[in-house]
Amino acid sequence: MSAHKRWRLSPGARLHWRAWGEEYVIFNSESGDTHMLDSVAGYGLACLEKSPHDLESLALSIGEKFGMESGRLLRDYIQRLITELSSLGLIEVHHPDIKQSFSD
Amino acid sequence: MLLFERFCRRHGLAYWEWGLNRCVVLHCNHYLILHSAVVERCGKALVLVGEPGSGKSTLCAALAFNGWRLLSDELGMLGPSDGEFVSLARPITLKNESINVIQRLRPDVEIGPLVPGTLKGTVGHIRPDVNAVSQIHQKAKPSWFVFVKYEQGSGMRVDAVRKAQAMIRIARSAFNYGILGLRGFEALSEAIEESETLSLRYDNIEEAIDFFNRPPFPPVPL
Repeated sequence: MSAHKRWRLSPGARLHWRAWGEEYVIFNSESGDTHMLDSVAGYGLACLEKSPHDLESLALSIGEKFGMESGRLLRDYIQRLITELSSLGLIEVHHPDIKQSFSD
Repeated sequence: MLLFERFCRRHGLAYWEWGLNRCVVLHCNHYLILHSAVVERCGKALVLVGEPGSGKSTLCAALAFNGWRLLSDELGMLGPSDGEFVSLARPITLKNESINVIQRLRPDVEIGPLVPGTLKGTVGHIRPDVNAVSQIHQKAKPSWFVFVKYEQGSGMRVDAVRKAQAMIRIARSAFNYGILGLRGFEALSEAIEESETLSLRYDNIEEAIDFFNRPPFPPVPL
């Protein structure tokens, strides 16, 4: 996974959030899927919902928010998180030069 | 479409009841239909959730004749617009040893003809209490979701369940959560927001009844 690759919320995703304590339940009304995320994963997804991030900037945001030391462990975690969110169809690689064929 | 396998005439009563459930599930998508049993006291709904064979219908029947009003067994009908459970107040279907448990507990309860040898064993139907039928139009606000598990020799144990986990488990076992889409998500998440979420493991029906007749549950009506 390239450190400079940027990720964003999938244009096909429309998220509805419910937060309970340290956990989130998220409904994607485009897919009809419901997901449960812990606080770190939920915050990461919320960052990507706001704007595209690469691995480094996402690690920085999450590290600051949760007081986590930046380093290999955090980077590995972010990589796994990105892979998981991507496999759920929630995020995708952001290609700023490619015009989207449908509105976000 | 094949709705049912062929079945013996003597199993007709059991299939009739299961068929009614099927009709409700297929045609009542204006409700979010949860796989659950629901009883009510003081306008508050206690929703019993569990896998088949978990003992939720047995507990539902026991509570329905010990100070709680039966709303529905098997199908919890939550209105997405008002966020309240409606009542079906149909017979409670019990299986095998559960029939004896309720007969020992309340010998006065009326149980219809037993239907032996079905796919689920011997099936019997309990006649709902007269108040459950006469108050069928009174709805109830979701107040407790309890994941029930009968387990011989387990003793009784109650634990809090995290709301997010409860939401996912209930959504997965609901009959039409996927069909309702965002309405289903909003209705269920709001119901869980307003409720306590617990798990109950029990091996003694009287202890379980006693638990639901003490605070924080409302007092038994006089």
